[in-house]
Amino acid sequence: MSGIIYKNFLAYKLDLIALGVMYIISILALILATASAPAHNLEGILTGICPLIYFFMFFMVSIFDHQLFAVDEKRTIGSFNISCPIGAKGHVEGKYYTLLIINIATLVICFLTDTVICLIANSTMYSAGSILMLLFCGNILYTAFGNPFYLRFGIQLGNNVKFGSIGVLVTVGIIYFLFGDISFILESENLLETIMTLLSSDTAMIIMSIFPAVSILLYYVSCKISVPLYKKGVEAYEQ
Amino acid sequence: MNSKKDTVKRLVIYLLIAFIPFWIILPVLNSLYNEPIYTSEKAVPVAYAVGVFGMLIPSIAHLITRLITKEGFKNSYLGLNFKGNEKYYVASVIVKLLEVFAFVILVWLCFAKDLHFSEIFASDEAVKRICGYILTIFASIIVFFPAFGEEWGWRGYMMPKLTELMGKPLAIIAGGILWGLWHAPLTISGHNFGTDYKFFPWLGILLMCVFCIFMNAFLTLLTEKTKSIYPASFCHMVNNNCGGMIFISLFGSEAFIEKISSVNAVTLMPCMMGTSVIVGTISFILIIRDEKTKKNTETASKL
Repeated sequence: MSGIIYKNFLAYKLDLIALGVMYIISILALILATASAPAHNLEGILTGICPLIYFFMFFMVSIFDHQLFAVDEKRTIGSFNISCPIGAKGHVEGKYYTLLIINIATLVICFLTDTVICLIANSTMYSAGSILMLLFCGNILYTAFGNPFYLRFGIQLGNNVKFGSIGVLVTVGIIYFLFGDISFILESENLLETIMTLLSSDTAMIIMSIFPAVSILLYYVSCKISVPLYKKGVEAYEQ
Repeated sequence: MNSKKDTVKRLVIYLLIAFIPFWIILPVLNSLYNEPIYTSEKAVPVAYAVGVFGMLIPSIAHLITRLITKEGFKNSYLGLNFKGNEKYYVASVIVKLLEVFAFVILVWLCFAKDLHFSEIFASDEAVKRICGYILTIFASIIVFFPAFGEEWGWRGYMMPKLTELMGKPLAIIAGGILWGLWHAPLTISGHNFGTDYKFFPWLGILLMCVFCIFMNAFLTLLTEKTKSIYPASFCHMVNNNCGGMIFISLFGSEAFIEKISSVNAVTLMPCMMGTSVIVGTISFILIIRDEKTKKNTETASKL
């Protein structure tokens, strides 16, 4: 398995470099913004900009991850992968391990950045530890959703489904904001406080507490169902 | 003989790199703040950052030692080895949580017996408190890398080297003491026990060493059984983030918290150690039994 993961990282090298450059720029921007901000703006940076940048860093992984599947788009490579001793199972698991390692690396980078930000802001009150965990879980859930499509239909259709799903979510959100009950937002004087109150309700807490377990479980299930889908995809490609 | 010399050399290099940063940084910070940083309100962010980055030092020491001694990365315990070892992965979290519950019961029996057992728990917002604790447990497992930073150094490098030199039973004791001594600058800075206790900081250092010996036994058992560093990392992180005092601060009633707050951290330590001693001793026995079985199998195969 370590050989497959090594091969994946080698094939994904340029995208990893691009990700790294973006991470460095994001981290530097965040550190400079925190260091130069006046004391009364720090709360806004720690509760608003920091989580947004961390979200952006995780989202970058999702945007780039299809490149990991691009190397398998050549005509003969699918049959070759299946005929190798590790077979389709090892090949697919390798992809899932590689993406998990990249997500964990992103989590580590964000967590260490957050520690430095807390140090600069001289406050641990708004440490983003729990937010980072939820972002990580959200991202692996999104990866778990997209990977079977990449493996079955290729990156073009996979991208259409994966990014199309964001479009669907945004559309549903817009429709809700246009026609749904948003009185809780309109009536609130402090939006951030209203959101925090909503997030600390019993229902939200229950959802948040089971979310990590569900996302990890679905990542595992996605890996398992991707193996037969990948085989089917290769067979369809050959025909 | 030569290989034993190499092992000693590697171990010494590792220990020097692991020990020196804390022995330099913490006294400097303590003198900058004019008080131990873990008891200073001004130094909370610095203490937090020292905790996070400090936990990575043993791993960095492990990496540097392997690179400068050209040891390579064989037996580095980085594989998951999940298949067949699921029970150890589950045990790494469950055992620590059971220790937490046992600690709460022991604390109640020792220091708050005048309260009925049901009175030690807060009665309001039960759902939020339970969900919060579950979230903390998951956070400890997912954000496990600060503990990985320590485990990859102590269990992933120091313990195999000590085992090679003196056998497993002695290695567990020596490893625990070394691990406890590594925490000494933190203990002097008020971490874990504060500074307000008799024989400060010597008693704190001694208690930490004893605790580390028993914890080391369990963590070594997890690492050796799975040949992976991750279960020990999960266990260590759950121990740090979901420990007894955190459980009490989350679920305890006001009266219970008030009673416990008046008790010194050093006085509470035997309650925490009581459960760790049991788990550590069982782990120690299991390790020795495994060692004996291994030796018997080797002798039988030679015959």
